[in-house]
Amino acid sequence: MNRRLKRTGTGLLAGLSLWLASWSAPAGQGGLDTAWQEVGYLNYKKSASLFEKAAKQSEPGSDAWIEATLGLAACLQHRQPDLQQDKERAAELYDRLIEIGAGKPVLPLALMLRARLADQLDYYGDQVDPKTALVCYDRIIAECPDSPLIHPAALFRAQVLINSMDKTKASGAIDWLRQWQAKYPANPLTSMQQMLIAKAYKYPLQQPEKAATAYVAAEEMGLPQGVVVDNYYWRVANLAQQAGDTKTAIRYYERIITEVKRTGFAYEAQLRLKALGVTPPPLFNPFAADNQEGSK
Amino acid sequence: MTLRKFFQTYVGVAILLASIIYAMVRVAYNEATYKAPDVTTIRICHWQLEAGFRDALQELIDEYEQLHLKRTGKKIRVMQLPVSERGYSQFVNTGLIGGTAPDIIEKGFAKGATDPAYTARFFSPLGQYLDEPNPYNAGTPLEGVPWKDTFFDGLQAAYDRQLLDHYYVPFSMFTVRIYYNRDLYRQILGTDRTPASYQEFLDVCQRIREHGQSKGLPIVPVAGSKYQGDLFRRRYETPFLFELISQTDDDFTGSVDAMESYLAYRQGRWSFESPRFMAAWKCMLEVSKNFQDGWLAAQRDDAVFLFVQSRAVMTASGSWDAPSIKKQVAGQFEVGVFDFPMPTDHPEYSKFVAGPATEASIKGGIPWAICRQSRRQELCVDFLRFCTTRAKNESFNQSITWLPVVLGAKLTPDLEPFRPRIEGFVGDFQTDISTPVKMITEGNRWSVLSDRMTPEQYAVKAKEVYERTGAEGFQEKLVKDGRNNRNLERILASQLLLQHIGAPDPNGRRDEKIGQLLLAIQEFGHKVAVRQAQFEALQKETERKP
Amino acid sequence: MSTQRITMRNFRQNWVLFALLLPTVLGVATFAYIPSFEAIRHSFYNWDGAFTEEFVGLDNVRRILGDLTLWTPLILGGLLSGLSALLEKPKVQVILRRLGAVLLALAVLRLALDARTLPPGTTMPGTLTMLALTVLCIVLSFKLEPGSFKRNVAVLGSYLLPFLGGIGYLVAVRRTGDWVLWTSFRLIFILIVANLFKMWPSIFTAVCIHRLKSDRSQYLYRVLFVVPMIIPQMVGLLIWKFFYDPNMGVLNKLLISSGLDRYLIWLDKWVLHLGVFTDPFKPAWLGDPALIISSLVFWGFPWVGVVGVLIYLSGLQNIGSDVYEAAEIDGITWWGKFWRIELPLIMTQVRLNLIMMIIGTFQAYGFQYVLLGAEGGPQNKGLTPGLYMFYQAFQEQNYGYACAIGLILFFIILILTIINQRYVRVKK
Repeated sequence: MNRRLKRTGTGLLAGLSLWLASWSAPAGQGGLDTAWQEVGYLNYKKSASLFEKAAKQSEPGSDAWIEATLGLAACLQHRQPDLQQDKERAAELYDRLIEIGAGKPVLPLALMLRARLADQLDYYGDQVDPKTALVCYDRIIAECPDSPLIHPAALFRAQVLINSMDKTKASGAIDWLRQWQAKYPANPLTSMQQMLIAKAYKYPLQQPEKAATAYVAAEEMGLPQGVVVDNYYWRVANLAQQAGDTKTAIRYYERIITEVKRTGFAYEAQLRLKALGVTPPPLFNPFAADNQEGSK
Repeated sequence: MTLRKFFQTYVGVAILLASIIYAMVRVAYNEATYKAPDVTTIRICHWQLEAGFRDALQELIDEYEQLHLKRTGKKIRVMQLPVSERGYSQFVNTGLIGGTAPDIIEKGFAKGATDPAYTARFFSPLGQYLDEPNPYNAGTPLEGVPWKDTFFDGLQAAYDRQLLDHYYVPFSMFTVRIYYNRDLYRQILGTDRTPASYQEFLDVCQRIREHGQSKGLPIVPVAGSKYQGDLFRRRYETPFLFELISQTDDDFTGSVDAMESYLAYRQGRWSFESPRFMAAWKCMLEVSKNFQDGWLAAQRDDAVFLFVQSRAVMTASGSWDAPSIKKQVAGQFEVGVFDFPMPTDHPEYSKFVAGPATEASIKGGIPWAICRQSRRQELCVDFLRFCTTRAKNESFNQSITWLPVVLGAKLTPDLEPFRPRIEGFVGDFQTDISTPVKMITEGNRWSVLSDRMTPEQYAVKAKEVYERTGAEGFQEKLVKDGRNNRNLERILASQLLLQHIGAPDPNGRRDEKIGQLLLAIQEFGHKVAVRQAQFEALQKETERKP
Repeated sequence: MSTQRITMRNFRQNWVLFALLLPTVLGVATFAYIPSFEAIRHSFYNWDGAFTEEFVGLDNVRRILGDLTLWTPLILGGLLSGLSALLEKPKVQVILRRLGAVLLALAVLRLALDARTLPPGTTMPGTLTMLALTVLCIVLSFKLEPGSFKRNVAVLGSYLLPFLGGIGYLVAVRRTGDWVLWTSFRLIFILIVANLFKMWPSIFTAVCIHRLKSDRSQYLYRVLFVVPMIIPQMVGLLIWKFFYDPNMGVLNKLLISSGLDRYLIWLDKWVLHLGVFTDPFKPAWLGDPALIISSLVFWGFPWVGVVGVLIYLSGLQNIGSDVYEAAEIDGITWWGKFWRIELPLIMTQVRLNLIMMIIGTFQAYGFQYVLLGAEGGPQNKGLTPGLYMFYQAFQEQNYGYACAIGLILFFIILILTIINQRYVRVKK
């Protein structure tokens, strides 16, 4: 056979093998740190393999193993596409962590993530498992009283019951949340818990007057960051008006105009006030030529 | 081998080699320039290829580079990368995924720049910077005011309600109005007064048509295309639905989304055949009858061309087109602008229409986001801060005749009619419950607007497809909503894990972020649960009926 | 020089050839086969093209076809009956046909059970009667005496009734499946029928070029036909879009200047009652739902396809001059030359073009998208399955569902191609 042809063929093959070799080259060093960094970027897919490697390299039960396993379980739970086998393996890993984690800092988080896994639909044909979720939330509350995760756990616990849309369960959840608030009056999520109570009164309990009152109470506790204020006031005003509580409705319509000046709801709030027989405050025009105001 | 033969054999190889060498030299040169040890370069990409825009931005860049050198003694270079609209998506996506994206990116078009999951992955949240005052405002009335509150809406519209942070800073804003040929208008109608009411608008159109017919001139009242048709439709259909919105907005968000409207439909709270919808479509038809013949087959540019040629007295477009339209008609005629007159005092329509949609909650445009991979985060923020002082935002927008976004920034007098109107209603009434509904209503809507189908026939069509595919569409949307919530869980888990391992939290806002995520998950979770329960109850009820 | 067979057995001697072949194989696999297999795989997924990718089994297919239990017996029954016709062993034939009949009967049963829950106004009773009669005919064709008139009627019925019943059945199925998709097939069938007529100008043109006496002129014409291939298809589409423009388009100007507009206005006023041709004459060919289909059919006039002409020409050039000479001795006319020699001898090319045309028509979406928009224009008159697939993928981000539509289209095209291969016979 032609020698030149052979040489070309050899060259091609060599190139191909080099290319393939570059694919199978070991991943760069950096280990767990890189993995956590990728978790920060929500790149669960990439960090999963890094955690897997780290877990294999460490002594089972050691702190390094626990850290890597927690990371791996979380990555399997959250990496996409969401596959059944990933979720099942994540559940197994969480269960192992929970088993060996008694008294260790990993326990509340492992329980929390396990609960969220049970409380969610992840893949086609997945079933929500509120029972497991409730058990996990209860365990966080009972076994890790000093963890900052107890308040989110309490919130999620009530959410599971309320979102079942069962009136009895929802009423029970409201009472339970009230007791929680009494026990931990300064808890950072108290206002959010109050908002959940308000939501439960709206659905499934269908008591708009109580819902409006609960929203007002939540605001008095200090609205959490992230609440879109104009929407919140609009909701309270409407609920109050629906429930016949004109006084609250008027107060909130007025607050929309005076406090959240740049909202699109202001004009309509003015009309509603007029309809309720109240002289509304004037509208603020952020686009006015002479507007210099830089406030809320 | 003769020279000729040699040339013939190797010319292809030579061209290829020359190209490769040229490309390599070019890359090496660029690398050397941008990575010069004494110059820091930030790159900014956008799809605004209008000449005015690039010049205006370059003016800001030049000023900033000089100021930076004066203040810090360090050279910086801000490089503009204008990319055509067509290639923008690919350019941004590949850059983001490949880790070579520019430092500042105009958000839009590309999935990488719009999808929340990508946004969280590739862009820096700007909330912490926006809460602090803009140092460039020192000595101005906006001194000490948090940066975000120096924008016309406090950047409320820019807040990402899913990711719970701000991811961009806008430079301009846009509104939509009717443009008219002042000279022709005066000539035909004998006045400069623009129509104050809907009926007056129709009368004006009628007179223009009569004028054209009597003089045998090919003049039409409004230059239209699907683009203009849609602008008119949005302006005239939604106001008929505001009352319905307030009646069916069960979660009090101010808007009725497709799922909410579907549930209300199944509960018998509205129908396509109701007088409200009939009136809305009739009104839209009345307006579109004033477009030129065959407008449905025309392009946006065809309509503008008709207007520029003085063959149409009016047309509709956004403030973004103002500079180009004015440039095209310069020396031919004077362009005027007025707002869409509403049928609030119309004998038939006023019972449905209380007013127009508000423009108080419009979003800022030209949204700049900072790429997470950028190694010059602080510099990027500094540049954006520099550009969004009142004076700079004003000069930038005045030079391209767009609307500024910073409080107190003055408009060019030409743009006065584009100043956003705060009087008006909030909301939207969506009915696109499924893809077939979207396609069929969209396809048939044009027939109503072009008078090839009566509103009644349209209602029958819409009803048929809505009832046939609604339930499946509803369930699909429910799954999609659940998936959105699932994405929030991914972000929450990441924050909880980082908190657990004690990862550095440079801004000290992790707890706040976790709180926001818990809130969003609560909102979404409850909404999905309520809708699912309501839907299941309705399905059961339907099954029970004989 | 002797030729040597290259097989895996003598790999050691020929490995370089295999190595040289590898890049091509890899290239074809990467850019042709892998995407196709991926598309098939994704048709069983809920896939948004980015992050979401969950296996949903036959969910997408079910959404398209409707209740799968409605389809399965029908498809299997049809397949068995078809297979029985293909086989030559009478015993097997009878078994298969009977099995097919049983399955069809099952389909009827399934329908009868479903008829209660289907929305009113469906064609259920008619379909049921048809299918019940089919089964009766099949049974009778076995029982009655061969050759008798009654049996012939029964045999005829056993072919005709399932066909009619099947159409009714499909109408019923459409109600549980993706209604928009099935509706969009209407345009495809119209276009295929139109394309059957639109094939002829290419054949005639090829024959004309072929019959040119001068080789130089033949060459010139061939070149002239190749030149337009350089123009991108998109440019052609845009030219046609401009051609149809109601205000500035050539078509309306042509009709007005030739005075044809008057006739059309008259025709519309007194005969058609469409209200599309009015005074002043400015029909929006692509904007009026009543004109869209005609515009799509007229598109490409005078329908001389460049590729088609070249393919026919290549076929014609293979006809030996002795055939013509023999025919001329027999005194053949110019028409006879075409009808008896040329057309039969280029049937291979005709069949190829037919297949390509059918595939092209089924897959088409770019043409409708550019001319009419993503939703297929007013009243979705220009909506095709391809355009719907495009809409689902790129407007709605339902890539998995779009893949499933592609898969269904693939099977439909495959069946039509098989029918074409089997029944468009080539006799040399």
